[in-house]
Amino acid sequence: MNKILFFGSLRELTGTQEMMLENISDTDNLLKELLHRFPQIRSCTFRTVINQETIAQNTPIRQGDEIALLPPFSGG
Amino acid sequence: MNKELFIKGPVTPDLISKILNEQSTDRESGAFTIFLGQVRSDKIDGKEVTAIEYTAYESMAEKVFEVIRKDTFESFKLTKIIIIHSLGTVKSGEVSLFVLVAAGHRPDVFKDCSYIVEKIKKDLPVWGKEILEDDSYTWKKNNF
Repeated sequence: MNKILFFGSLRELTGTQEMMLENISDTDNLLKELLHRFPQIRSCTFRTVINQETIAQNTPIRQGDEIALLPPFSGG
Repeated sequence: MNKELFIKGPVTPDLISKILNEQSTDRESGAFTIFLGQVRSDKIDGKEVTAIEYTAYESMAEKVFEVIRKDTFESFKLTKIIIIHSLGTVKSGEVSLFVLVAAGHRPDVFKDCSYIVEKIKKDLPVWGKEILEDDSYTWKKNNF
């Protein structure tokens, strides 16, 4: 099982702060699944992080990994 | 380096005063620079911003904070970095970001504080929702 977290505007668009998914092998497949469930995020800009580390390309997802989708930051 | 990165609500004048008072026991630092980020009453589509609501990916923010510390503490010869960022609602005119940078001597402490503030704005996983006077809102965008 993997925890998927949404932040910023993505929380509103999906109506979700966090969800659990299983049997997701890598981030490309995760994004396919999320776009299927939440097509409204298709045009959003966001980065994908695994265990708080940003990933730049398709990355395997292991059991227990925490994945977050982060829109552009706007702190400060 | 402080342990408390986030607080609920604004960084109040009392808290700022408390932090400054605590510096009198610091015998290593001779130069301090402070940055205060305050919520402005910007106008968006003719409507005034009355507050910003902040949320964060806190566990990732702690890691980013450590990276900023490692990158700057030794290379800039700093003696102290204090960063406090608000979570929740901060009204216009209230402070949402406090950064204090200290060194033994002054030469680069202004530049170092500026570097750290820019890193915070670019790298800290924090989001601001600008609340407008009619209770509508828009998601804040940082400019670089």
